Amino acid sequence: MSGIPPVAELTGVSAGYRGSEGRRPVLDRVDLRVARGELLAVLGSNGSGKTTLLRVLAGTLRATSGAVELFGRPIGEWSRTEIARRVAVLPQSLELPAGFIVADVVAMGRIPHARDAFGSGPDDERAVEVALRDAGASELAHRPVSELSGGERQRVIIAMALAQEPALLLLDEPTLHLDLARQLELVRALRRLRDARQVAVVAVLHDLNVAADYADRCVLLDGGRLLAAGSEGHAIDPELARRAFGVPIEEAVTSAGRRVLTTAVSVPQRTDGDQT
Amino acid sequence: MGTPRRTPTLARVTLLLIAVLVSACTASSTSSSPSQSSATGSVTLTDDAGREVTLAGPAQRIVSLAPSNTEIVCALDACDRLVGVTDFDDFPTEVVDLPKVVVQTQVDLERLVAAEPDLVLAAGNELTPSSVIERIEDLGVPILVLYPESLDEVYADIELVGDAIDRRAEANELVDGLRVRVAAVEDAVAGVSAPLTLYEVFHAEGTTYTAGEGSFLASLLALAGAEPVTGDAEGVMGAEELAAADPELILLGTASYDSALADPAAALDAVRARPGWGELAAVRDGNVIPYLADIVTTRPGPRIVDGLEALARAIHPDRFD
Amino acid sequence: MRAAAAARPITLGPSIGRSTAVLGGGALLLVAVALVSVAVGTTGVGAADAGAIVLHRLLGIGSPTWPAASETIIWELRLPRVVGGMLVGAGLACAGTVFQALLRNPMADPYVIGTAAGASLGAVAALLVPGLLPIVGVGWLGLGVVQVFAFVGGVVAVTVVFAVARGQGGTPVVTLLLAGYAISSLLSAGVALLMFVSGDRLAAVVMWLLGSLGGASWPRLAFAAPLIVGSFVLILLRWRRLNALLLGEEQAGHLGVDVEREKRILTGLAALATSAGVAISGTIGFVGLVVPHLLRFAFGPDHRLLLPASMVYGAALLVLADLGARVAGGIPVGIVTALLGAPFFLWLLRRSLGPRLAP
Repeated sequence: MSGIPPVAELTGVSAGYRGSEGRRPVLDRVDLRVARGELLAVLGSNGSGKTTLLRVLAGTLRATSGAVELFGRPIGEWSRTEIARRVAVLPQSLELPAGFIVADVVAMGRIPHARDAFGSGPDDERAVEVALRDAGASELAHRPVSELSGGERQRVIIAMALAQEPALLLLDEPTLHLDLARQLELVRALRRLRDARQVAVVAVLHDLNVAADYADRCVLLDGGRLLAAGSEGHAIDPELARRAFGVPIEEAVTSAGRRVLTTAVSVPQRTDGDQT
Repeated sequence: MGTPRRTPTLARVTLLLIAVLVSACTASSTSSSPSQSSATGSVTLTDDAGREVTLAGPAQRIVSLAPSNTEIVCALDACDRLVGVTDFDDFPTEVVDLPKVVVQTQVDLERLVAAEPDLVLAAGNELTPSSVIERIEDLGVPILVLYPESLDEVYADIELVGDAIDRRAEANELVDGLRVRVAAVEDAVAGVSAPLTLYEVFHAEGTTYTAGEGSFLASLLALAGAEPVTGDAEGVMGAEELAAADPELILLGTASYDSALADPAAALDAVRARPGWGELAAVRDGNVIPYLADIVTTRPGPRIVDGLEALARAIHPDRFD
Repeated sequence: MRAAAAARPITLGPSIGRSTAVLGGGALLLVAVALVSVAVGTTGVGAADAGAIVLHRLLGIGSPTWPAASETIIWELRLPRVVGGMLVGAGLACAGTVFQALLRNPMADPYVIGTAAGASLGAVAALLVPGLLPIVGVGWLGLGVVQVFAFVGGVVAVTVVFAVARGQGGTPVVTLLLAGYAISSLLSAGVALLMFVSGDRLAAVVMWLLGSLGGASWPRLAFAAPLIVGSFVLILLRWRRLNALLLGEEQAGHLGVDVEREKRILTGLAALATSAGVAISGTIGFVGLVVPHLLRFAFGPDHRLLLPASMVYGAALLVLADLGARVAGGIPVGIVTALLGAPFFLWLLRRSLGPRLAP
């Protein structure tokens, strides 16, 4: 690789929340490197630290130890606005303020690029148009936000993030409210983004197979420790997954010859750990 | 940096403070006699609030913000110079038709300005709010604040108004006449034992409003040959304090406004029904008198002496024919 | 999907036409209400004379054909009241809009974090101790002790509330609201105590608390105007950040907004405008609460339009309320705003609370 710094690099990062000192930190000495244009899937059971990892990457949570770098610079040296021009976050849930139309909500993604004048320039309008198109929400542009369905709202939120024209996109369980078709649509859109704009995506996903199929790389968070999910020939190692999720994971081969992972409902579970 | 640089600033500030204090002190020094500049006809007066007010000449268009002030002006035979009064003014009867500048105790500045006064007579102790007095001052209209708390101060106010309208001779005559009548009352009740008297200004919910300690009303009662029962500084008295005081005589000033109390027998019954009142000496002995002259007894104008006479008659009827 | 893409071009924000209609309409309303207010009073000054007087004093044209008293009434009594009503109404409505967005609470008004209680305590203290500062009492910059104390009281109270609510991680909105409530209660207890011992000054105290534009004079307006207008301009420049705050603090942060800094700046500006208004007129209620809701319901929550609209319509509302107060016999304008505001608010509630603010 040339001397292009990675989009994000975490070295020995531990992080937690106030009041949790003394207990094991939520993130425990995590090393992670996100390359430009890389599609990274973060997997893990609830409470394993996935959201915390995203917050550290977004700069909204300060690591208690270790180094966090964005684009080669320590994160502490970036201002809020500078970060927002490069990093966009899609939260797990977001209520959109009623009374706006979709285009204006998506336009809020232009705030970090605003020159604090009064109006929105043609750059902003173009960026909003492109963002809506990439999110598959172009036909929603003039709809009032309060009339959207769950899936439509999700796409609008994605468009808002894309309007920031980020180099790094952080998604926290973006497929939660989407039906299968929309889930695939989203993930394909992320791939297109990566191809077209070299946007790196770190997405917390819960579907192992979707993650395995569409991500360049999968990582597993287990009790605050980050593991590479894959090993030789496997995007996700069934054994690692079994340990992390605490449920029996079986590997199967589809009729098309692809490997998929599945869990059987009737097999007795481990009592500790959560079910996925 | 060091002391040398700080001292000049400190000295300047100190000098400034001294200058302001000195000017404030000289501004508030009172002189009882008006300073007159006979050449220009202007007169500088000091009112009851200690304010020095200069009039360009004898006032010809007077606005009164209190009924007592109106009565003073009319008693000096200058009723025709009044251009604005309050809606409470009722004496003499001709003032009822004058334009009302104060409606429901609210001073209407527009109406006041429209009357084009060259003198405003206000009432002190916030009866005319000080913010209103300031506004009138800002508008450039001379305003005198009157607030007499004794007979002597009423005389002084009559003389003050006399100076303001160039009727000082009439004012002196009026004051002399009042003094004579007061002296007559004092003579009539001299040597007679003074009954412990409660003057009821108002009564509601177990609380009685009477003469305040050291108040004008208390001094009038004393002059009229009574020993006044007094409440706190504002004249408020609770039922317990009243029982402890146990007055021998009760004058119902409220009877001046409530016709149900005008009849002595009815008044006694009504009063006896109040909780705790039945045990008072005055009630047991039937010494509860409906008093119908409350207006003149509590309005600090020229007719205050009428009030004094009415009080003396009510308290010592045998000393008057 | 490309083919089905919206054929209509994307325009962001309220269109020029819409903005003009909303703000122009509001301005027309304001001008109309102001004209009527200047022409109407307890004394008859002809409308033509009134207009001529204003032109004469403002532009120096025309020579007086009217009595001097009429000129005093129009220029010294009515016009300051009208301009005062505009300023205070605009300031309160603008501050209310800011606090409702900042605190994400539909019940927020300009007084919720202590301005009213602090200003009241200052003003009542000044009303009751006139002999305390005889030097200052003679009118300070033409303002009056009560006004100065009210302004300082409001600003200090907000500063205290903010300091109390500040934690290590910033100033959470809920803490700010609670601290505001607590400090306001404390200060109000102080006011109540002073009222209890006020004796014959009680009437003056009550009148101030009810709110009135009768004390508006040109020097006081000259003091308040730069504060109110200046705050509005600085707040308006932050319209994007106010919009972003509607998404919630976390998401606003992701969009590059320094949320804690915005809280400090916006609270400070809104508190300045509110305190300046209260110094002129006492604590007038409902304008700061109802106007933002009504405007949001009518024109949407985009602050680019909402903020200027709140200034214009807030001004018009208070001038109208003051006209009603004067015509009804000089009653305090706070009573009129309450009488107008409460039914409006109930109507708004019936229409499903208007646009809900995101938590």
